Amino acid sequence: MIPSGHQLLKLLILGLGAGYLYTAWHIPMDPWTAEELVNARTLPLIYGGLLVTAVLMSWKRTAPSEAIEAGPMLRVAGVVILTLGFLLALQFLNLWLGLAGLLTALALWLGERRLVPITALVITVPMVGWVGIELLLNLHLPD
Amino acid sequence: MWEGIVTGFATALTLSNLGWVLFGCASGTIIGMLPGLGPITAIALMIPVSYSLEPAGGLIMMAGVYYGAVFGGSTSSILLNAPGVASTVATSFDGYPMARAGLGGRALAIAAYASFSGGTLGAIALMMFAGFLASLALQFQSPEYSLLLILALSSVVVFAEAQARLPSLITLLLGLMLGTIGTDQLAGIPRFTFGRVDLADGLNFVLVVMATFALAEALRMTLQKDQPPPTAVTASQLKLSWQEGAPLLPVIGRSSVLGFLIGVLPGAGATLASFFAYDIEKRIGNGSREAGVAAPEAANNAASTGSFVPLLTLGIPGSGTTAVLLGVMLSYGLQPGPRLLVDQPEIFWGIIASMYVGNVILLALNLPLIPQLAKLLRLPSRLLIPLIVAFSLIGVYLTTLNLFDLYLMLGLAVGALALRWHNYPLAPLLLGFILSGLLEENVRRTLFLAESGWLELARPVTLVLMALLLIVWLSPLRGRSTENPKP
Repeated sequence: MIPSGHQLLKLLILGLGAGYLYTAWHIPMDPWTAEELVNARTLPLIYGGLLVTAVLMSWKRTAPSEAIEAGPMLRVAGVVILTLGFLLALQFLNLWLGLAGLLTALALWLGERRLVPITALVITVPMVGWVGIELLLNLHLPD
Repeated sequence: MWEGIVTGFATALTLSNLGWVLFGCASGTIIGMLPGLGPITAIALMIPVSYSLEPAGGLIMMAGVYYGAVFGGSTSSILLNAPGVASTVATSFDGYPMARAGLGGRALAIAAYASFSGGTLGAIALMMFAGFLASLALQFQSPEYSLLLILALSSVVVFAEAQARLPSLITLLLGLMLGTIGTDQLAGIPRFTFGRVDLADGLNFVLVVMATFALAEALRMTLQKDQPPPTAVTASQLKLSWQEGAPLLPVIGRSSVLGFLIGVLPGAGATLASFFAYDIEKRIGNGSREAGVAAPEAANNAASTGSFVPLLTLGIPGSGTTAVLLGVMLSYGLQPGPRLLVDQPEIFWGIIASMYVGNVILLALNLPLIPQLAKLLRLPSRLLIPLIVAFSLIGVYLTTLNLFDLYLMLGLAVGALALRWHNYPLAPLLLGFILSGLLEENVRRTLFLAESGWLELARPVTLVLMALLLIVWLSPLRGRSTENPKP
């Protein structure tokens, strides 16, 4: 049987909780700290344990979430991929130039075809950011 | 006291000081609206300007910057669901849905009126009870803080709708877990960093809030069909009739008192105050969206004023913002504390008077701007989504200057979208994350104290808080849960 989206999410949270518990148990500590009643591991172990218990308790609960169609899912995937592309490009491009590229790509991907709004968005946002942040507030962002 | 008040107003109402408070309010509002820049950054950025002024003028301008930045943060919180500071997160719970429903102007107007009232009531309380409250605040030590924080975290789960309690607990725990990433504050041990230096300082607040609210909201909007833009905001929408305003008066009154009292306590004052006020309003109030905006706004402004109590009377900064202000005062050669009132009454009362003046100017300055700001919401989603994505990315990059954090934000946003899509509320996650460090520090200190005997902890305030906690935990058994819409 294929698990539903909600079951899959709960499975993911359960895995996250188990992984967190395992990592919490292996937090490196010096001998003095390890002997303390409450140390760096204590609260993480409590949080992880409670999370696993809560997810198991909610296992049979079904959430009234809407089904997602393939089209909108593809749109979200596109937005995430374009943003990832922008982050990769930031290693070579200036932030404001990269941002202009990202704004253009996102607007086109989401269906905006009018030249004037796209141009206004692409010029205004990076320009206001550059003038306001770098020139007026004198905050220099790394290239 | 009256002589002091007159001295204070005489100082605050000089033409030059009025000009500086106006400048401070305007600059603070603009900086506060920028992604990732909150009151602390706003004040820090204005320090060079304050050096060119004499102490009274400089501090009065800084007070204006503070209020302006808090209001600016509320604006981005309501219009874009992108709260730049923790204390305006609760405002977005009802403010943003109001904005999406075409009531952005009304939400901003309510926020402005509530901020004004909260700030003004806070200033009156500061004037009258500063000394008494400062001595009471000193009674709060680690055991009391631990209980107060557990009370806040418990409330967000217990007061949720019955079917939302378990999901709220899950997201609360996820938030607490995110807050444990980084170097352990007490032992200096790296936790959950997987050897990455980028994680050594923990996750940045702006990163988590932009991921879970702003960016996740942009992705959620992408999933939905294009909706018609809300109607334009006109100046007439900013006026509240007596029938509309009257129900908000008790909300603002009780939230201001609560906010001021919590604000006096050093720590996460304004944040705790806004969450508490929101939860209490949803529980005992009429549950309207308007009250959901008014309560946290009144509370966080009153708490901001309350945080001046330990600063001015004891010389102890109660929040990050007042710590920066303490630095400004020290740079002027002023020593806040019990002697300030005796040695330099014009400074002490001038700052308090400037709180009234600043609140009036802020209201007069921002109300006419609201229709212009609300135009942002009329953008179609195919332009609004890129704008929110850009806003989030700049905000985080500006705060951390670290590319790794941007990747992390994107990953967290996708996770937040999945949680939100399956009706897991994200507000508990954020509250858990914000309070995680403070909770762990105080719980561990309390348990260290308890090693020398539990009776050491049996103090009057502790017992009252324990009784309150017990009542909160037992309340679901009595079927007293109320409707509590959360994003």
